[in-house]
Amino acid sequence: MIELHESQSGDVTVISLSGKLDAATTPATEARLVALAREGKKFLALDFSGVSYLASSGLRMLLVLTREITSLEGGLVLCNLDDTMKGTLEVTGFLPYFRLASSADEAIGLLRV
Amino acid sequence: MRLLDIRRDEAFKMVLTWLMCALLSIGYAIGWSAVHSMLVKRMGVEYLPYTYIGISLLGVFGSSVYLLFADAVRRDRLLMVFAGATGLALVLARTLVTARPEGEKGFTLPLLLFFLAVFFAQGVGNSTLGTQVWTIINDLFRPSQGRRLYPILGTAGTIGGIAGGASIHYLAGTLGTANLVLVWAASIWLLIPLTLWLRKRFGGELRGRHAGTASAKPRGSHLLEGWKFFASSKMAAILGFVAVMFWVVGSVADFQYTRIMNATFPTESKLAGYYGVYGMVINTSGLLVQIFFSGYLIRRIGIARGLCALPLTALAGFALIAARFTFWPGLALRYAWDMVGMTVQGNSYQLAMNAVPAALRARIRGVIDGVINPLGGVLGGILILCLHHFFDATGDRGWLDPVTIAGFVLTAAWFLIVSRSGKVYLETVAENLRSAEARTAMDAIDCLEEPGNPRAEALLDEVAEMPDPEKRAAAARVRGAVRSRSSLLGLAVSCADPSPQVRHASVRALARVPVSHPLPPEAVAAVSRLVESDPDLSVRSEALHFLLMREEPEKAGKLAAAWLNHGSADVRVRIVEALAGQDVDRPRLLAPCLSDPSPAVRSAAICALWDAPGGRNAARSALAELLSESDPSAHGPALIACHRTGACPDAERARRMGESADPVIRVLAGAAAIRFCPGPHAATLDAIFETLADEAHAGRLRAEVLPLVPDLGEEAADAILLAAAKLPPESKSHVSKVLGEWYLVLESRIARPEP
Repeated sequence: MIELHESQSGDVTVISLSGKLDAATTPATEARLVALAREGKKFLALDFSGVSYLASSGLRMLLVLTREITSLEGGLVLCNLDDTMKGTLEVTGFLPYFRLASSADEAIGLLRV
Repeated sequence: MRLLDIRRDEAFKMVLTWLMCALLSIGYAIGWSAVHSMLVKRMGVEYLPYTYIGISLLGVFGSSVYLLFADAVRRDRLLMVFAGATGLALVLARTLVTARPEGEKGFTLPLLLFFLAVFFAQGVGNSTLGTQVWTIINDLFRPSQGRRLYPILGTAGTIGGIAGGASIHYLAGTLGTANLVLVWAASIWLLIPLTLWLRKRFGGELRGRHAGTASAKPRGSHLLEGWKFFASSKMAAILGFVAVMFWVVGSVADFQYTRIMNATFPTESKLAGYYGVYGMVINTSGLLVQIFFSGYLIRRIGIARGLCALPLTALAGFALIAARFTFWPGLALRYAWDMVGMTVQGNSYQLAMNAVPAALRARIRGVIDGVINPLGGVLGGILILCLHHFFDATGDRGWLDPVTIAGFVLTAAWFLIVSRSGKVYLETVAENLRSAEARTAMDAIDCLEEPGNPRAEALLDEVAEMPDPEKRAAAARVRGAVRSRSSLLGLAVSCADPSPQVRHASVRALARVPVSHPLPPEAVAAVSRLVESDPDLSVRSEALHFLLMREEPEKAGKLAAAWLNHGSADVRVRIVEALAGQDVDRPRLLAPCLSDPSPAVRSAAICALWDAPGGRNAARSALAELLSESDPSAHGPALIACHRTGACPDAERARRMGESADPVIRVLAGAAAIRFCPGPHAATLDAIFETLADEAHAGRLRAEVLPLVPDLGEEAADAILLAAAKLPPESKSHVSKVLGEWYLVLESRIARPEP
């Protein structure tokens, strides 16, 4: 089970994820995040500091989310990824498609500009 | 919701914005009626005409104040400030007068201050609130949504007017006429919580231009920028002209109508009774037309023709009253004016605003609605006074009536200018298409939905050649909505676009054309080619769906069977894959494919039948048979079928295929071993990475294995991913040459969101 904690900073919604992003947890997480974007919270900062594992289904979720947010003319920033997660994004060619930040505050700053 | 064509994710925005429009209308209907009555009863009817001019001038002032901040301050913040201040002005005004009508008879200072405060609140605050709400609506909905949703939002004003008007009698009796001003203030203040709610849910969409940076500009230069654009833009000038003529011609039409009705109904009570009945009929019928017909009409005739509808209607109405200056022609003139004005004209006018660049939209709307419109009111008022003064006593009627002639001349001028609006509108849209601002450019593409307009279609052709696939896909969607022969031929061409996103959008646009609408053979042929050869499964699937959907069920079955007998095994594979997502009798259609001479076709048929009702048993037997084949050319298809179905009847045999000389088979077999055999899998992973890191095979692995990565199953894909992420930098770089397009592969597998 993955937990989502939502906080608002102006127009930017910070979602802190905690748990494993694997095949069991991503469908519900993806549905929740896409719903948030469609409801208007389309400037999202995803905080991965509580995520212990990013599986291939998690990559798929990120792709779905970024595509949805792009179509809504919003913005997505991933923050607090550990080295393994960054390595996963790098080796699979995901890195160029995402903006990364080292903290939630930096992510908020990137989304505000 | 289906009846009103509101999509699920639009519903909440629609409710909030509809409520905002309705509240403005209710408040105005109640409050303004009260103020109007108080003015006539307490000050005298002779002051009435001058209030129109005074309020219009105050409106110009209020709009200028608004324009200082429009586009520079967030839309939501500005709306709340104006709503708060307007409500406060109304409440303060109310404290200046007593509740008793006889309290202030004649021209007293408190009464004068009351009217000044109320007119100031109306002219400066309330007159811009509608503009601000509609600017927010422009931000929240794209033009393509607007064509469906604006007519529904337009009902808010009508329903609000009906509700407000219907409640005046009761409220005035219960609260007293003067206190209705407080009801007006309350309805305006209610905009504040609604705006806060809107901001909470859709805050990002209300940012206005470059949030956080635009406010650094001096206010004066900001306002000047808006006026400069207005002065330089032909489209803005036409919209301004439409606004002025609406008021001026409307004044003439109203004047003639009032003369006819005044002559028809001899007493004040009969006249008032008639107005009541007319108001109910026009509001109710207007509401019905707005909900059920107006949106469809705008989509079919386009915005430019929509702007011509009202002057044409007015010309016909003036002709009628020129022929016979009696009740029915007068009623026809007024009814047609009100009906077309509140539906086709109103919607076209709002949609035409989308031709204004997004960053300037609020200011231009402010200039037109807030400055030009009130000036139209002033001109209309002066014109009425002049016509009344010079011509009312002449007694001429019919074709020689100077007022009717004035109406004719003004309306003809209106029509002549507006008939050029189509050209100017598309010139402006063409400029916007080249805008660096994404929203402006995408809105401009949506604005090209002008059926039967060759220039719009030529612009769509230009967009279809632009480098950005997003724009080309948007052009395809618009062409599907236009449905003309040339736009359908354009879609046939864009079916061969290099971007799968555009090809997908093109086929989907063709699929949305009603079956009853004839399609050019070129379009059907282009889609057939996609079914045969498109490398993107979602495009193929959409293409086959399109072809089958346009046939009767029996014919669709025969068509699918014919495709499955194609001479090329590659084509047969693609047809089988595309059939997997179709609503057809798959077990019957695909049964022969399980014994196809090509192992790849058998593999695809196994996968397509796996989830089909009644298809799994036959598929399972065929998979076991395929896996047991000794022919090496069957190994790859067998392993692919195992991965795609998630089942492996002989896991040990699949693992042994890892000894193959073929690097593709080795990786697929290794992934099968991780997935279907008990662990540990360290040695298998090492073998996989050894293959992946071998530069000699990188090209083939990228072409043949990478597209299958999403099928490898979570366990195998995750094991590869995690291990790859932890590889030393040099090995990681080699492996990423193969896996580096994982993103693109996944992207091709995921359904694209509906725009």
